[in-house]
Amino acid sequence: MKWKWTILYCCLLGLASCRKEQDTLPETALVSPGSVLVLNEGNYTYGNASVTWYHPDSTAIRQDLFEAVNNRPLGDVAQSMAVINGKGYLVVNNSSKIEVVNLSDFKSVATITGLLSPRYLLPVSSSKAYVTDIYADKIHILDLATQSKVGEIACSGWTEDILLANGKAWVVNYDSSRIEIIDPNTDQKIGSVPVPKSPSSMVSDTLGKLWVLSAGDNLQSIAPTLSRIDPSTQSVEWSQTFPMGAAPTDLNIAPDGQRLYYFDQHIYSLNIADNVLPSVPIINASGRLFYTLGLSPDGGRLYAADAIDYNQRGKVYVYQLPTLQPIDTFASGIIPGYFYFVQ
Amino acid sequence: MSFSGFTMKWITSLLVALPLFLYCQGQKDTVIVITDAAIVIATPNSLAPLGFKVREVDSITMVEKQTQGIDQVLATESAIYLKSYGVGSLSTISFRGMGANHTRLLWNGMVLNSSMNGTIDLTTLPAGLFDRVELQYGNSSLQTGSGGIGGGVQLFSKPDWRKKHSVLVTQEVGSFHSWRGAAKITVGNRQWQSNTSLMYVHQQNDFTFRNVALFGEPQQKQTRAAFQQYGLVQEVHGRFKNNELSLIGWVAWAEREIPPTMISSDNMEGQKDVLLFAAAEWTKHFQLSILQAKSNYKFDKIRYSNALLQLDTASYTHTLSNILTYDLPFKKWRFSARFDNQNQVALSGYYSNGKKRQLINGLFAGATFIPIQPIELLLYLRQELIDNQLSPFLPSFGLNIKLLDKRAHSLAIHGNWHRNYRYPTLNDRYWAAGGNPDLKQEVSMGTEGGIGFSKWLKSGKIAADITGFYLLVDNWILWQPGNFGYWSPENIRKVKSRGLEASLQFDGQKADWRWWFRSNYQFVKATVLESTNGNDLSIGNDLIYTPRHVASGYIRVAFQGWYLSYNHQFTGKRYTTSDNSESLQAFTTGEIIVGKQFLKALKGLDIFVNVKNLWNESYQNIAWRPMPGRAYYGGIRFSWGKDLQQ
Repeated sequence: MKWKWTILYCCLLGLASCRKEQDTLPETALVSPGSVLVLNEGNYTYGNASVTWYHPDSTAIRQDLFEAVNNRPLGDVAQSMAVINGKGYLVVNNSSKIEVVNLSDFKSVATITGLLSPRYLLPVSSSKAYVTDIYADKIHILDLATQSKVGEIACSGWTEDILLANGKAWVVNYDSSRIEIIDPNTDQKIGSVPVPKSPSSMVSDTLGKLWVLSAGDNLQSIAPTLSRIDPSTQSVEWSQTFPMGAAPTDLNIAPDGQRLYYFDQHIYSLNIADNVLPSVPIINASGRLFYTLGLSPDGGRLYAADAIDYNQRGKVYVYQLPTLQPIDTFASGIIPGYFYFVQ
Repeated sequence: MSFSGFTMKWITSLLVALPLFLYCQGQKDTVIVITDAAIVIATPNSLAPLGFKVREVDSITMVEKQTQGIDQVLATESAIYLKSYGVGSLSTISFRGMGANHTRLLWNGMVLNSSMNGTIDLTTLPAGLFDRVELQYGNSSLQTGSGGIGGGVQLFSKPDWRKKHSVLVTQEVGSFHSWRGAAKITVGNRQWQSNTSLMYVHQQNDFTFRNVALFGEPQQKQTRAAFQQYGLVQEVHGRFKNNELSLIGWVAWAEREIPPTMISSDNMEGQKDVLLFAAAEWTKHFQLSILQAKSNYKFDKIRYSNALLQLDTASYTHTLSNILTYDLPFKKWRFSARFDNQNQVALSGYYSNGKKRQLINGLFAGATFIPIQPIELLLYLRQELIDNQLSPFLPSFGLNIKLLDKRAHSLAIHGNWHRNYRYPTLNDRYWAAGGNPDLKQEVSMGTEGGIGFSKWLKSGKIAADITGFYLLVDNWILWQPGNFGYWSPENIRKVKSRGLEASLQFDGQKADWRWWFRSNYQFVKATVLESTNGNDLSIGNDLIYTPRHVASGYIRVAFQGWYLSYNHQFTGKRYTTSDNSESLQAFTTGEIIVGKQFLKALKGLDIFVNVKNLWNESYQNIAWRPMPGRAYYGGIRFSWGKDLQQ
């Protein structure tokens, strides 16, 4: 009896003292056209942001692409991505930086710092890009030749989605409930369009109109709203309010600019010509916690990411459009939050 | 880590394990194992938790860690997991695979856990302010209230009636601009005793670390991690005829900078904590029975600032507790009845009207019974009324059998079956936005069994024990993003935890030599059994930040005023994601203390040198939170005193 306990105790103490983890890095993937990159936010302050690579033809996947190639972690909270001149710009929110990689092999070529809490990047010319920011009260100006911050545009409040329309940069300002308009030639704010409370995402349609999804404020009994802005008149020309208690988010548009997608627990869709909001989802969540949507550039596939409990690898569901047939699922990193489709 | 460092760690691990091995070699004819007498400790006004595991912290450790946080005492004395965000940063403990909010922290029977989040930061509790510490594994804290599903820690401020006067002053200075000091002054006679404890800590924590998150893993200096703290306790104890009276007040103030992680930007975060307690206790000893009444007031304030978010918020809690206990021994029985009442008020800008209140009334009845020697039985019954809602009834049963109970050696087995629950905290229920008032309690059911042995030798004592446990928790609360983009708590999971705890003690003396050896090990596997989310890959996997293996031990040797103490701690791999796809490596730390005492009677000087993280381990307890490498401290301890004449 004595010996059993003794040996068990000694072994456990000895084994416990020498256990070390051996990490093996995944094989590097070549980021070829047609690839899908999933930016996984990771948990706030956990530093476990990552990139998942997926190819729909071979259905091959590679996790932790950035770390595997560059031997260092991506950072804390990967927010969004843009590709300019063959380089990928990965906006890492809580690391206050943008990692620049060669898109083809994902090797790091630069790290842009001097930002505060960056969110989205928009190239406004071949040499210049704007970056929105939650806390900086400004929009950062990047020089794409030197891969560095060269200036800023004062813009009070949390700036979010940003896109080009009518030769101007249109910026969602969540705090002030406005869409700010910036002239990329002068880097000056030239106007703004008031929209319903707490705008969070914005897309442009085939007619050049801007669609804005506002979250409202459930605590103040302000319902969410979908609005349409005519850039030529710089005003809201149509809006429709969701019922109280709804929580629509992540507005997307098909590449042909004809059909909008968003989710409010389930996934909904409407045509830009529809005058009413859909009441029936196109895809039922069925217990999943959808966190982000993506539409392939050929318009043939819808990607929906489930963050599950936000503390484990997420799961991405791939649906054929327009039939909505599920055609694949694959594992992502922690909190899949952004899709980038390589063309 | 260098090869030589690794080798040294191995040698040390072997040294820690070797005495146990040698002991077993030499005791072939002895049936081993249970626990030392310390496994069953009863405070004067409570039932001995027969059948439950309770361990008292060694008094030498209390002196050794006088200037440090209580977390350092617990890490030295047990193999429970200490989750620390860094020196001077948030520090919590968890027993048996449960969370920090399943650990009850009590001071003189009064709950210290925040009514807002259910936990308490151990960094804010300086060890030098307390006289005695008791670790309560499993459900033994049920006498004092529900919620300690994993276990509890009892801190005591108690008089030493032998003292006429005494002073103990410690001053330390060390690496990373660290200054720490503590003093304890006792004055008294046979009727009255006054204890005054003071402490302070100033630490810049500007240590250098290897930033493994950056390319090339450069050496960086930790910035903005300063910590300072002050504490004061004043106790007045009186006894006259069959009455005892205690008036105790304490205040602890701490201010800290919260540094960024290795991988995130600096949000310029900071925190200030104020803890204030006042307590009055009256104990009446009748011929056989004891009646005790206590009233306590607790106040805590946490002010958090974040320059990036332009946030500067404060939250406050006020708790008024009243406790009445009556203990009656009757033949082979001992009965205990207790009524307790807690009126909790929390103020925060994150509550809908800025203020929330919770009223907890509890009734406890318990008994121990010795039907025939050597069998001892225990029954706990507890019923609580929370905000006038009847909570689940909580019974517990314990059994202790003293197989051998001789002067020279003892052998006993113990076992229990218990039920407990954790009521959702005020934040769980009311945080705006996201709080969920419809949350159910986390309900637990568990059992444990163990065997313990102790043997007095000519020159010392050997004791060993091993305990296995099994714990099932339903309605496990998990915060996750809800429909409106807010994080919201839900009763998501069912969790199972099982494991094994073992410890070995070997104290002795020969000629002028004295030695003390302790070794503790815990194996725990806490996994998710069920989840309401069908995709949840956490099912079957370990809970995050729950190491399966934790071990600690120390060897102390004293010779003619010289002393040497080596503390060794091992923390196993911790998963950081619920599907166990990511983890943090195990780490081992060592600490050595060498000193010389110049003592005559109760007066003297003690000069010591302390090296922390002796093996210069580069490790993270929490992901991307750097920990300091080897650090040096030197100190002087002055003691002076006189005992009352017998």
